[in-house]
Amino acid sequence: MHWNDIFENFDFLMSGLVVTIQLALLAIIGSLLCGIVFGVLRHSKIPVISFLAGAYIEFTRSIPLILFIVFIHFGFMPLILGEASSFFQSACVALIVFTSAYVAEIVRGGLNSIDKGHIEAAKSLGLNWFDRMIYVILPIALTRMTPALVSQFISLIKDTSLASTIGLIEFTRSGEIIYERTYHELEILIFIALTYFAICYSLSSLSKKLESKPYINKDSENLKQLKELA
Amino acid sequence: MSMIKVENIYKSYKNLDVLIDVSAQVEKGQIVAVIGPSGCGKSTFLRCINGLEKVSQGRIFIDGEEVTAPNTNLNKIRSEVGIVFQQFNLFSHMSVKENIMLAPVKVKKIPKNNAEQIAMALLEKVGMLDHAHKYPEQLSGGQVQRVAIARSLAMEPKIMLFDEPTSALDPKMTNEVLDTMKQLAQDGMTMIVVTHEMSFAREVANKIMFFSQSRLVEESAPDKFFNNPESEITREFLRSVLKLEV
Repeated sequence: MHWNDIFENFDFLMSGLVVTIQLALLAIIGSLLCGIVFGVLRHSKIPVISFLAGAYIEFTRSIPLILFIVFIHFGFMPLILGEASSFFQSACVALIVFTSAYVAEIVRGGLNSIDKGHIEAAKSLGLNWFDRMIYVILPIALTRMTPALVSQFISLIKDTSLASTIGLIEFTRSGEIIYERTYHELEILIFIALTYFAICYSLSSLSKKLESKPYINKDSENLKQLKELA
Repeated sequence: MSMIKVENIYKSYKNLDVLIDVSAQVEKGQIVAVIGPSGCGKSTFLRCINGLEKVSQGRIFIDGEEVTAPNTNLNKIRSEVGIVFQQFNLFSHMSVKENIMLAPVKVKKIPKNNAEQIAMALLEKVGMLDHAHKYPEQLSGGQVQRVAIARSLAMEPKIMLFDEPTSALDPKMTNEVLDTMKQLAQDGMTMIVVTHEMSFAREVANKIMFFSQSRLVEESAPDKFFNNPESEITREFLRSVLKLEV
């Protein structure tokens, strides 16, 4: 075996890993925000808005991610920006567009699961639509959606490797570059696979931890002070 | 001017008539108990008052403002009308204190410090001060309902509506909640209470509205209602629930 390949090219592999992590983080944040917006729109009672959001979701989910990456890099971004975008930018936009459709469906499911009584209570207190969403409905829905969202983001982390098709040197591609030179694929591939596993597994463990601790009485110490206040 | 004025309201879902030609008035400080068999439309009547249900026909005024007008600011009206539900509906992701503070801070734009003082004072009033930092799932049903009452009171409503507030509670917890409501009645709050608690209706209310089959059948003082009801339907209802000979 040639495990030495890994150590000799460690810096190069790590620079690829950094790109992968940056890409994944940006895409997770972007697709979460866009997905919440599309999910809320999809959930809307106004038929036109709900239909348009639904069309976006259905269209996006029916097309392979790799086509998005290629199309966004060679078609969409030059059209919007007037010049070619970097591989990283294109990959990031493609991942956001693609994943936000899935997130939107998860969000819609979460919104549908909210007890009607909570919504009525919020309405009855005089909270407007926006405040109801931000302070009551979305926080409850997001807690329930955590497992589904985490599994979607685990997919996203692995999907970042498809960005190599347009030339982005992320983690998987950096490994490829090495074994195309050394012809020792196995060692590098095992290392890459284990690294992806470590990242994804720690993410899913973290989410399990979040789930198992719902609402704990955190600040009972403040209680005494507050009593005095009242 | 009446606090609440209901003029000939109708409510129907598809082919089902839930309210038929209901008119009523509630004066400031009045305690109205709304009773009747299940499915008679009494909860719907209550929910129409703060616009949670839209009437099919007719008009409702609260303190002179029309709830049923097409351009009405429902959020404003709702902030002045508290409602307490059978299923409590406390926000499960917020502590007791946060539940109470939310609407004063977001709707009335009261600074957080002041809202916190209001919350604490109300929690003391309903006997829940020690539980301010707990989450709803850590409380008993009666405790949750008392917090729900405090949450509504935090908006300083002109009217409090109660939609079968004790139906999901055991007798001990029912008494806790009824005591809180009695106290509220003594403070002069205008209240409409949909309830199956006949003793509460008799002791605390100063007007009874009896619904049957989507209609407001009888409206009278508790004494007259329980001892000398006008309609045969009422008599039958009282016989069946109270085993009374009237």
